Amino acid sequence: MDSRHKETLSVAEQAAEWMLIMESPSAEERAAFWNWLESSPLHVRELILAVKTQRRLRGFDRTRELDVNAILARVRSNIAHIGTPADLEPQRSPKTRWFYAAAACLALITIGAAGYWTFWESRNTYSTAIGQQLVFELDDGSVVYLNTDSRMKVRFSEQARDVFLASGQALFEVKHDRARPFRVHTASSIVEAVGTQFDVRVLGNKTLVSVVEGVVRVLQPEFDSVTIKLPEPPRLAAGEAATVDDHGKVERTAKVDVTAVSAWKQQRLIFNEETLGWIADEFNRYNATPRLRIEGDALRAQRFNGVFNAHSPESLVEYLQEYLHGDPSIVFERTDDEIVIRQQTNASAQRLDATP
Amino acid sequence: MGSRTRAFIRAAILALAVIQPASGDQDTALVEFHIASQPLAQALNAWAQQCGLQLIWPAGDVARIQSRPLYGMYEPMQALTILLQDSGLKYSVLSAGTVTVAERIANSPTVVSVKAPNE
Repeated sequence: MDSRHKETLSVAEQAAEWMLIMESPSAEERAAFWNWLESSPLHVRELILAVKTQRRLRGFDRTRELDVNAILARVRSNIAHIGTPADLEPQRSPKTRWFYAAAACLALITIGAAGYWTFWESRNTYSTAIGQQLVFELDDGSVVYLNTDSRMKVRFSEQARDVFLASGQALFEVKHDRARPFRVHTASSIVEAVGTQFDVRVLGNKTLVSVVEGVVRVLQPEFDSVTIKLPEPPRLAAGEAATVDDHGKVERTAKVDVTAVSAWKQQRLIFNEETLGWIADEFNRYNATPRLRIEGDALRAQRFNGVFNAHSPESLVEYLQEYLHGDPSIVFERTDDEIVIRQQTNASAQRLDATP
Repeated sequence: MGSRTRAFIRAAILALAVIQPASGDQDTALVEFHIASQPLAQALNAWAQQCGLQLIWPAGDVARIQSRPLYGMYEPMQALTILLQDSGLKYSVLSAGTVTVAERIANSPTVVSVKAPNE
């Protein structure tokens, strides 16, 4: 392959070309192929995805496909460690070979993505402490608002604009560039946009995506490739939101108020029928002190509507003192850095009543 | 006017808009409201967002009734009174900057019924 020509192709196209070449490679081509493959985990990932595509198109014609396990064995040393399943060892039996190959694909994608992380760890990292927010412009003119207690990395190439949100929440105002999709990766999802405004929040093992303007596509990490498009990747339009769990399951939520989605930029918290437990946790995202702790399942499950300044947890406590006034089972406790609102169980409340 | 000047003015207005909720006379200052007819909970949240006050009240069926639309310049409490008309709800002010809403009925287990003996 002419190397200058190769440079102008997307990684996915390069992968496809290498697949053709590797059906009957010369020694030189074979060496070049390994060089290319080992130069970036992204190449590995794209190659695996290309193999998967080929497998679909050719109806599992194994005589013509690359040996994924061999690739895995060969490049594994080049790729960073990180929590790989112990049973990754390439194994085969004639009947289950496809299964292991598929499993290896998945594992390799995971390893590749993680290697990718490690590689870029030292660069293009943005993070905020509790209570901090950050606004910055990316090279393409897109603007990122990074919320409290968040961490993200940016990786731009000629083919794509990739952002990795490791934790927390960010709002993206994406500059239109049809040639380079803008993708936000989290552990459980990839959100792809061309030019739009949307919010991504990492919530434990789920990802919450809310669209303020335009349309985004929600992809699963497994299919993160320009070569493979899911038949109908879920699309979210302005005012729509969805959660994506770590199995890639997309669940639409109720319509969202687009002005409420970005209210956190003004450090405003908006609650729409949220539980007290959630509300307290939201304040705790923004305030190292005082922390709010709500104890008692029934109390935590009570729902409220409202709007607060993120840095005024005291206002919530003041309200609860009034609202819960007259309920003898509720106790307020304050320490230097924590406010506990506890609902006593029946037994302990009775004990309290008995005490003169 | 240069674009830099315009940008500065815009930034200044924005800064004022952010600072404004913290100032003491927010209760009487006129605010421009744009609140479409929607479930009351969301309408009141929009009200709080647009005037910069804090708001909290218990969720429930009454929070889901459809609100009347509200557009125009109003004092925040005047606007809230209009939004709550015919809802059976009334507001009370907890402390500077925080408002709560509760049902008017006498046996309501809420802040307002406790605090409003004249009802």
